[in-house]
Amino acid sequence: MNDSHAKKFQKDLNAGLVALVLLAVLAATDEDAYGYDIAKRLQPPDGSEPLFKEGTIYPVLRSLSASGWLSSRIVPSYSGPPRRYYRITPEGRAVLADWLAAWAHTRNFVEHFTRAATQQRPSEGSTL
Amino acid sequence: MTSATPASINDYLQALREALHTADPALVQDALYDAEQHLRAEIAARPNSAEHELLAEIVKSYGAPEEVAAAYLETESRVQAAMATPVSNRRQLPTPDQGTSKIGIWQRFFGVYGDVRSYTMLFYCLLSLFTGVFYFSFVAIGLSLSIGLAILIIGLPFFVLFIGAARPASACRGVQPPCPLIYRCYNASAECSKKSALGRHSPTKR
Repeated sequence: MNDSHAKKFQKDLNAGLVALVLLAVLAATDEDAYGYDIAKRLQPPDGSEPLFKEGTIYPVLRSLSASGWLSSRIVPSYSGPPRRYYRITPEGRAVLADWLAAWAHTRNFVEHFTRAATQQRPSEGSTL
Repeated sequence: MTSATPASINDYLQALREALHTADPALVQDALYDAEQHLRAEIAARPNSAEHELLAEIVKSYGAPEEVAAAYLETESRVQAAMATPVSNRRQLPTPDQGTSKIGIWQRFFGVYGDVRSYTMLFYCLLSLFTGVFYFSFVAIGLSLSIGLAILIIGLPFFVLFIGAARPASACRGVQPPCPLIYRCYNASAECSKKSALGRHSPTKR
């Protein structure tokens, strides 16, 4: 198959999912987390390749923060530049709840049709 | 496609800067700051490996400079389009091409008195007097006591305490300790991040 098509499709999917995943990760913890820490939490448990590069989460964190869905504070670090710690705000939790509902609806909708397509494929071959 | 693996963090940052050469300078600062923070944290987490060897691995997970630059540019354009304040909610400020036909000259001239931002900025200017006095007193007292107590046994611990307290105080103020590359610009970037409604940070726009 054409790998570039798959990559482009994945990239299009990621466009909205990164923000959802970041809000979910920060909603799951009571502590403030900084970019590197968040990036490491996004590693798949099975060791497979993550859906998005770590470098792509930072601009999304900044835009979520600018929208008021994350609060941020800067803490000096001895290993490099000061770290920007993020925490989800009550508005961010409300947005996350809405997004999760939309995601559940989307997933069910997509699964309904993709399941039908994958089930149909073997029989298609036999009829032709 | 992607370029060769950078030999050092500074090489990576330089490549990222070049990939963002068309972007807003404040966005470039943010991207450089994020990248340096991440790369240094990654290297600090694995102190036994050589920097150039680690970089090849890190670039794979963090993304090549071109990929990261594309992500910043893409996010910025998407965020601007999706989250921009609707025109109806925005205060109707005159634009140069509108002329005086829609908004009267008196409204244009005296509009500043009705703008809430005028008063918040005025308050900030007043507040900076008190914070400035506090920071000046902190440094003057801390330094003079450190020097004065240097002849006593408590002089050194006091000096260490003073320097230790100055660091978070400077971070709170937005002044960064002298460090390479990013730090010189970081202050402006952090201030702009706070002020920007869209994550884009052009100090001259507000």
